[in-house]
Amino acid sequence: MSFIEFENVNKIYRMGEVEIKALSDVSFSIDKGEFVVVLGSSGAGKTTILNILGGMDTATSGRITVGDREISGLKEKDLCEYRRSDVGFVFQFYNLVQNLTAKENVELAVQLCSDPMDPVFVLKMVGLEERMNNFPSQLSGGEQQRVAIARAVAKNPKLLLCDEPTGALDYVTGKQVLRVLQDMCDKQNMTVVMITHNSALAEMGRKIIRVKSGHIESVEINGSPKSIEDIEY
Amino acid sequence: MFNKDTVRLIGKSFKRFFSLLMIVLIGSSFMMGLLSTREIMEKSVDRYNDSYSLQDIQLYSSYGFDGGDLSAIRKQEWVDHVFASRMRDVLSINSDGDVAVTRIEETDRAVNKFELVEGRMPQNSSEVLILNNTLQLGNYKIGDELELYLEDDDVLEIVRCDKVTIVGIVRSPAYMCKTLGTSTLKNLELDIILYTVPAAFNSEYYSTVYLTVKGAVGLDGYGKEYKDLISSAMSDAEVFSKKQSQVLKTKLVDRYTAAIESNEAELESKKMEGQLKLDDAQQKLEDANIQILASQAQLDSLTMVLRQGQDRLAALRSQFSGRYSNVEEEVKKIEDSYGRSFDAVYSEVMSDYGTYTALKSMSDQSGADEINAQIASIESDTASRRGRLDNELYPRRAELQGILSSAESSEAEKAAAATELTFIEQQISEEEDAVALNERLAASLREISEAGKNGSAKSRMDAIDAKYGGSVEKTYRDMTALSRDRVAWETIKSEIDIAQQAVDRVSGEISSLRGQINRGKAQYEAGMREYQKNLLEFNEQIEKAENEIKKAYQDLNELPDATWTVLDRNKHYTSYMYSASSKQMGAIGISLPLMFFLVAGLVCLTTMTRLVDEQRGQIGIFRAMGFSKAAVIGKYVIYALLASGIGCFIGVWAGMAVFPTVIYRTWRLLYDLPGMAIRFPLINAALVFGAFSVLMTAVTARVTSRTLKEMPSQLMRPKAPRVARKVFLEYIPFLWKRLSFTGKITARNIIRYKARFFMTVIGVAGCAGLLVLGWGIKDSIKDVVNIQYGEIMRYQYVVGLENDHDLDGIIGSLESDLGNEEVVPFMRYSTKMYLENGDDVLEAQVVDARQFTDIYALRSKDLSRYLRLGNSGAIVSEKFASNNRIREGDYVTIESRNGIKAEIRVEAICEMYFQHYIYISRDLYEALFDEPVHFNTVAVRSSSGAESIEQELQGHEGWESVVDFTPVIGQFNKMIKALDLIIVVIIATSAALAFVVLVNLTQVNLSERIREIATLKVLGFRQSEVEAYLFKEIFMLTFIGALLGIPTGKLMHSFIMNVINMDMVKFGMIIKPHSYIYAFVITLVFSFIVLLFTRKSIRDIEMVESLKSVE
Repeated sequence: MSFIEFENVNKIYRMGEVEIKALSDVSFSIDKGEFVVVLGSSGAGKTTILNILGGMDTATSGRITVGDREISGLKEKDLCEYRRSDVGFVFQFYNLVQNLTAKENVELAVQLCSDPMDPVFVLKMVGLEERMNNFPSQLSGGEQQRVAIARAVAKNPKLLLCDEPTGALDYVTGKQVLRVLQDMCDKQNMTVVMITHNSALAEMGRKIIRVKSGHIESVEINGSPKSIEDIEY
Repeated sequence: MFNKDTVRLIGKSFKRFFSLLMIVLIGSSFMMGLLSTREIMEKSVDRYNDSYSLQDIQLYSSYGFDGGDLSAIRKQEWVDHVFASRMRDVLSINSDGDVAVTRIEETDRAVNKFELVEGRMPQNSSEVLILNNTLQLGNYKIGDELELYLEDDDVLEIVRCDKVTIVGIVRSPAYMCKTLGTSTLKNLELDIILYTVPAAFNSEYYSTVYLTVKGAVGLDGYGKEYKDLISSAMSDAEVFSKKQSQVLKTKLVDRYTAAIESNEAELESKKMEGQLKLDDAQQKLEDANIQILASQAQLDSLTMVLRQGQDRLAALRSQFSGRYSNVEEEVKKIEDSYGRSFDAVYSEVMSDYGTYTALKSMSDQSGADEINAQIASIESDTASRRGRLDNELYPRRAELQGILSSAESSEAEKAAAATELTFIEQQISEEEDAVALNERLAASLREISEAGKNGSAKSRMDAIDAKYGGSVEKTYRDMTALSRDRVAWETIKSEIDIAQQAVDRVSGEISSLRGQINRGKAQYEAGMREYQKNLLEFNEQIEKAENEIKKAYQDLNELPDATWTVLDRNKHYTSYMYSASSKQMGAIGISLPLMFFLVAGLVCLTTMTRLVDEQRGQIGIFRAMGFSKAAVIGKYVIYALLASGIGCFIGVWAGMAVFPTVIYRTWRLLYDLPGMAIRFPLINAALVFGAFSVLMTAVTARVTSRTLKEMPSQLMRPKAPRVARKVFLEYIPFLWKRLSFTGKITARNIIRYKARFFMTVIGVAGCAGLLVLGWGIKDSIKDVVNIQYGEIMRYQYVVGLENDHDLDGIIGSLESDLGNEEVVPFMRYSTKMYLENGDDVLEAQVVDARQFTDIYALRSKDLSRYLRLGNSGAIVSEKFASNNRIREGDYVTIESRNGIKAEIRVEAICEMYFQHYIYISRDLYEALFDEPVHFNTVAVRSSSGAESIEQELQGHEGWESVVDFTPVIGQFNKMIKALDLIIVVIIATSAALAFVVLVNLTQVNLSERIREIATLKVLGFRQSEVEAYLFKEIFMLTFIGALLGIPTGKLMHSFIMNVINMDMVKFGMIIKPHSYIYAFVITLVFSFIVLLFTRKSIRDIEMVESLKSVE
């Protein structure tokens, strides 16, 4: 069995009288240590998948397992524990705590779990050992995003979820960030799921899942994922 | 369109709008209420004053007023109503033994009228009304009887009736303040006011005149117009009174002069009368003296006689004892040896000697012849006597006996015969005796003659000699000498007796005379002393009387000029006190709402800042679309003004409804206030509206224009986050490392948002401060009584003594009851302290230093230590000390009970809430004034009750009353209940303040951090951790605020307590620790409640928010 299993997952939002079917009958699987890129245009349902996978939202029906744990049907409290111990999250807009320094932002996440990595080590890993005592507002967007990745990784999660991590970044810094993510996968053997609308980035992934209006369009195994340095977007 | 957007904005940010509205509502209600209270207080009382014609001006004169004065006053054109009162201050005692300083006034009055609250009007001089406004009213009710008296004078000189009954209860604006002011009796505080019919007063003079000024009714008694009117009337009154005041004095001077002159004449006549009496007494004394001198002379002559008699007696006695000392013995010897009387022996010796000599003479012829001749002569004599008997005497006797026995003889004849018969019988017996003697003599002579003849004479002579032991001649001679001596002895003896009798008589006379003289002398001396005493007394009396008259003349000459004192309402105790109170209220009304105003400004600042921040994009769009800056600012100003307008509108009404009523009701603790006159003060409302509108506009415009400085393009981009800054704590790594992340965030946030920090801290501090204030007011006022009668004075009962004769007995009886824990006698009296700026009166208590702490637990002024009464100085109560600027270690001059002045050291100043006292140790008092202490009071600390104490005192003399303090405490505590209302209002206000501030704070914090919270959730923060992250900040701020609230509250409290302080009463400055704790805890509870509401908002934040782009 794969590390992550999505089986016939449906998600329906109710806005008053209107029912919006965000996901319908979504199924896929992800193996441990895979770098997965979920590709789709805006509104295709990729964020919903991410939300459900990250324990931020629940599926209306269907079955989701992560590792040996079924997360569909978990209560809010258990979902919280799941997020706390198993998931690392990288946001499009970094979402750092403005009042904490880079190092403190990492430490903030570290205090949550039982088997964390050393924050300084992680920050070194993302190349920020010089800036770790700076506040987010004193850092550039790329640096902030690398802090966010460090924060997510330091928890030593089973799963690293990234929501358009380069969406707010320019090309060069975006590439730096993606480099870090790729390193995490390759060197730390971390399972990384990255959401993007940029199809150029799909080549990075070992597995590429294409989503279109709530359906899985295709699941493609990339035999030789490209290094980020080789990708132009 | 724009307006529609504003309305929608309100809908969208309703919580924020509401919190803005609420803070304005609270602030404006507070401001409106407190600002208007002064006016309402003044209006209500002014109306009351007008309807009962409160005096505008009061006149006092050093000589009183008479009818002439009154009619002159009435003629003044500025005068409206006039009422002259003969009111006097006396003492009264009720059946419970409560002594009260009592003012008695007349009922029918045109000025300072009163309202009958209960009962009926008095109908005669034994009925009175009582003013209901007295702290001791609980002790008096309708039907009670009071006895009026004065300590030094006869109360009946003032009033007709000294036993009066209460028939009704009244209230009057003239005595609205619950402390009634000072009386004329030694400056004691007035306790009760009575009204009785005018006829009850004896005096012909009026002691004071109350009057109202024309045109004053209807004017605001606290306003300028009234003041101007009165000050012009006052100057008229001054001028008039200078003139009129002399009239009565002149009259009085004439009257006194006449009185003194008549006294002088009377003295003169008394003087003469007395002198005459004295002269008379002196004459009598002189007579007595002469009498004594005469007796003395008589005594001298008698003494001389006595001495002569005594001399003679002594001479006789020496004679007697010398020459005749053995006569009696000799005679006795003879009588014993012969066994017969001396005379018998002697006559025998004589006869035997005669016989012997006759016998001897027979030896010669001549002798024999002589005897024969003798015999012949005897025989012839015998013959002649026989012849007389036979021829003359016997016949005559027979003849007389015949006459006597004859029936024919007349009675006269018989009487003559009887007389003669007696005579004759006598003659017969004489003659018969002589005859018998002659015959015996003749017979013996014949025998001798016979013996001579027959020669037996010699033997017979020898026989006779033998009979007498040898010689009859010697015996005869001895006996003859002895007989002669015996006769002489007898004579002297009788002379001695006579002389002794004479001496005795004279000496008796002398001793009786001497007694007489002594008595006379004693009488004389007593009389003399009496006379001298009378003389002295008379002289003294005369001198005294003369001095009195002299003094009376002197007094008359030195009689001070009659002055009238003209007083306006500023000198009217109640009006002055109340005016001060309302002014103080005005001060509070301006200062306290400032805090709310400040908080409102800060709330507005944070709210509008956040709102404008949120609306950046919108503003950018509007600006990009071409709206002017002013239009944009206007939109937010309208938003703020709407909130403040609605808030003010409700607040003004709510404030008017709540605060004046509550405050007015609270003032009723100190004043007997009339119903409240509410008039809506439009000016205040406009002021409140204006103040808040300006505040809101200014703050909003400033916040908005700051944002508008950015270009529209910038505005449409997210706002650069505010730079986080390191806080000072980070420079102490030791501490900083220990802080959790939430702690660090909290620390940095608090520093980062200063407006929010101040808003919250000031708001919460205000809330906690108000709570401290509320409870503090209650603590301070409530504790005044409990501390005074529970802690400071440790006794509950006081036994008043008339004298200290049975003091030991009384104390013994009281101590025998185990319920009486302490029984301590002390001496209390009203004393005067002489100070630089005049004298002041206070009560002195003299106690044995060792017993002092049994009945008093005095603390130093700052409450830091307990005081002992020592012998080096006195303890003075703090209010008196502060009124007169006396400090510890000062020397002050006070009077003893008998009016002796001495300087005393103020050893300490003690905490005290009612009345003024000076405490002196017994030893110090005695040393200082050289005057013994007579205890007149016994303090009893007891759990037994007044009745049992009275029972124990039964059978003892010299006690007057038992005063029980416990009802006072109960009475006061009942009044204190009214304060609960103010506490409720304060709690409500402070709760509202706390809620508004905290809700605002959480709202702003929450809205600003939705993203952060969502992120934390995504990171796996549990609900409780997220809450802790947010709440820590709010809790910290609340905590700081609540802590700051304690000093804030203390400050407000001391400000307000100082404002409502009174002369005789010192309110405590005490806030009990539990009040601080209440305030602190309740503030935290408020914030906790706010946080409970916030929890749901936090839970409702969707994690997907974290994925959204920054606004």
